[in-house]
Amino acid sequence: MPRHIVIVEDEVAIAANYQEALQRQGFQVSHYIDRPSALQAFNEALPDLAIIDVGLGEEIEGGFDLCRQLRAQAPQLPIIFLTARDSELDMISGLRLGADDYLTKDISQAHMLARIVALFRRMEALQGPEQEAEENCLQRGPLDINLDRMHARWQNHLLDLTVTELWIVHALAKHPGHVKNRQQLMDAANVVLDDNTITSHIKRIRKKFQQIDPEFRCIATAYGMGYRWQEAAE
Amino acid sequence: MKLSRQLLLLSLLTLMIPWAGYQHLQEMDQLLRDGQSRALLAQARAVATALSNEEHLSVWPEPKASNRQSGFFAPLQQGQLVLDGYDGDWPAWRHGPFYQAGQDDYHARWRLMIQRAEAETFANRKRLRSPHDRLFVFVEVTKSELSYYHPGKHGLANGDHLLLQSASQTYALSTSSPGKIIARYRSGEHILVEHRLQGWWRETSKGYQVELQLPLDLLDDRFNLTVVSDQGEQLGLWDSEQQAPRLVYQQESLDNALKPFRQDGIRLSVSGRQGELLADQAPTMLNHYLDAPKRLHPIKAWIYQRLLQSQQLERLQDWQRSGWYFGNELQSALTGQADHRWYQGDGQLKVRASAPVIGPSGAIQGAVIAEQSNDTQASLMNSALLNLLLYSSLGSFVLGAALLAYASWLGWRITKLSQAAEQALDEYGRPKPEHYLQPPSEAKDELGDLSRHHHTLLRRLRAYSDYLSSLSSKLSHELRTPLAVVKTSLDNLQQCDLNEEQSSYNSRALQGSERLSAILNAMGAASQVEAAIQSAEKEPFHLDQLLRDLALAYRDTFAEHCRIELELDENRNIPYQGAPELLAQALDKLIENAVDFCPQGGRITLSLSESPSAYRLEVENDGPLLPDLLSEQLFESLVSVREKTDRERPHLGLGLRIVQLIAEFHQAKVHAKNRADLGGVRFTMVLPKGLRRDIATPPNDDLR
Repeated sequence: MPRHIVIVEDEVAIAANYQEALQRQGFQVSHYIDRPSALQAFNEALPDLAIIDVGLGEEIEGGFDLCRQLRAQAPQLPIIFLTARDSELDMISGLRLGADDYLTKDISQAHMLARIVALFRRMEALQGPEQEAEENCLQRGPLDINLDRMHARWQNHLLDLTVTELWIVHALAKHPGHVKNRQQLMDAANVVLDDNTITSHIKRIRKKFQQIDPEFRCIATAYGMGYRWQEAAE
Repeated sequence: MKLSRQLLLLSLLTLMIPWAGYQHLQEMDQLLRDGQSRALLAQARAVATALSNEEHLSVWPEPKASNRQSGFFAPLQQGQLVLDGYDGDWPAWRHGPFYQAGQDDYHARWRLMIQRAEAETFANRKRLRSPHDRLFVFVEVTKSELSYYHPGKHGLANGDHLLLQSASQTYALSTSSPGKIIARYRSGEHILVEHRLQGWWRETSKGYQVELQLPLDLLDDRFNLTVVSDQGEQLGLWDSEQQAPRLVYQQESLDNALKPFRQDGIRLSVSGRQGELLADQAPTMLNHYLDAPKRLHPIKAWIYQRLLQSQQLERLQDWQRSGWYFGNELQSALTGQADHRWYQGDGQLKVRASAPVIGPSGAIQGAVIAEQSNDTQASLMNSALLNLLLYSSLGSFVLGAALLAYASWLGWRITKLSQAAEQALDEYGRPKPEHYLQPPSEAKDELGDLSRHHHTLLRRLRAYSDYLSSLSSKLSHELRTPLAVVKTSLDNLQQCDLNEEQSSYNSRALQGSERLSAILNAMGAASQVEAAIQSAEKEPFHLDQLLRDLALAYRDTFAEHCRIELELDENRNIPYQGAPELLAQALDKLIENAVDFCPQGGRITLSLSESPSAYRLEVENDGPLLPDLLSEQLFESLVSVREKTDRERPHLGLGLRIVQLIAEFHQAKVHAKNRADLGGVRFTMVLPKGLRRDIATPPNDDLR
């Protein structure tokens, strides 16, 4: 049974484009133009993944409200914010509401698909039993990254990272000591972002690590070049 | 020139009114004075003509053949003198003119006076009263030792004595003891005594004094007095061996002839051919009291003297006291030409007019001199004209002061306005928010209008500036949705079955949309940074380390384009409290900007220097210069002022706006200047030290 993806988007042309692209990949896609209709659909049946625009018609922050309601309904459901708004505040509030990723609308379809696939993988991993295959695992000291299951642990505590953040951490930790510049990080994270957004991503990642380990200093800034993973002193 | 000074100059024009009044006053004064002097001259002429009439010719004294303009003068004394050897009854002896001769130790001074009286003679047993003028002489001699006449000795006189010369005789006046003197004279072989010449001799503490009395007839208009000591030493003004000089005195006959012409305010005198006083008629003294209200207030007199008396006049000679007069107008009258002249009297002007008196033979007998004080002075100075002059001067002064005050007030308002304009912009030339603006004036005049318009203008400018700074992020936001439509459509198109031609078009369109998206990202960057700043926290870090890292990175990045050099004190750690990520970003932008304008192979210098209060971060690059005008606006959004070298990347003028935002977060100042050698441009960020908190250098470099 194909996975069901719901797109809530007031811009019909974009929605149609995404719908077709995703359908081409074999997903079942439904499109709702505003919050009430989407909410009604969610009440009937929950999708496997929701892509939500922040501004929905007259409701400037309708997407946020929708996300809140959906999250209350289905705590595990992957939600992606897709928006023209790129302000950091919006991004923070979106992620705080429990969205799994926050993307701007100019993201390419390939990147979008990669993300959707990754999210489904993570969902499967959460639902399914522990798999044995470890080829996509990475261990650096207290850090454990499983790309198949799309989750990361620090000192055996699960890190609540978005897909983008997970990819960034993975790219850094893969080659400790090597400086990854912003472009490399963006490529790894399947995203096109500006410098500031990368910086704020890194900042958020550090914070998430520091919630577990206040002494966390493994992600170091190489000013003017990028970031590198620095092995924690034993 | 300041406004107040301009208006003050303008107000000087009002001085024209008092000036015109002054001119008019001067002309009036001249006119009136001319009129007065002409009238006086006519009067003098009339008197002179009258005096030359047949009936009056007889009153003229016989002309004496003498050209000497000198001689004793005997003023007329109206009262009674007693011959007693004391001067108590001599009026005005102490102020009157006297003649003196000799040195301090041996010295004489004397004074003459005519007493006009009637003598009593007895003829045919009838008592007759006839005019009989007597000359009184009072002599004071200072001499330590006196000797008196010794009858045993021969000669006219011996001991201390006086010599009195008349036209024909020399009298020796001596006495053998203080008391009456005896006048002796020689007549042939004999020595005779003249009894008509009487006198008293008195000793004083300093010497002696003698009072003499003699009939004028005895002298025949000539008189000389010489003091002779017992040693024969002579004290006198004229040599006693020569003929005695003239005795000048008022002729009774002429005085009487003048009397009918006597007039209020005019003093009439008659002068002889040498300028000697022959007759004098003073104006009645009583008139002075009646005229008193007409006399000028001292202040007005002073104003008249200062303002109207343009030329300095000669002082008036009081010839009625000296007996001789040599004024120019008299000299020309004595040559037959009537003339007048103005003099400076006591506190007022006086005019003297002289007219010749011509005898029947055509010879000039003498001259009539009429003297009058300036009556125009009083009338002018008391007139409304003077008041007009005074008031208009006062008015001009008040007007000038008022204009000055008004100009200062206007100037103050305009200054305030210009200050408001100056303060309305912050140091980057951007308008300040509205609450920083000075409130507009509420005055109802044009300046108030200007202030209000100015205020509105600034508010609009501020709104426009706000709009401009948010324009790029708004634009990027608005454009993103249609761009997303294009991109997703192109992505979908790629999935369709396309021939080679179609897919090449598609990929070109995709490339274009990628670039468009990059531009939109850059346009939104400023608002991104603003957001980042809002969530940024300051942390301690090492500024020098940051710079080293960055320089290294820049060198790698731009190695093929230009040289990047770092100037830094190697041995110093510079701890700083700030947001290193943001500072790095600002430097990124500065370096990017520098690289954009740096010619291939040029040099970019990154330097950090320290001043007592701040760190100066400088980025210098070779390349085109900044236009002077725009150097403040450089940091505005969407302003790009330099001719950019041809590059792929868009140059929207957003980078420096970001630099400025970050600088503001650090309370730093950024400015751009052309390098002194004009070979390039220098951007300076001045980071104040006040923010720094001393931080301990950490054991490992975990700050990085």
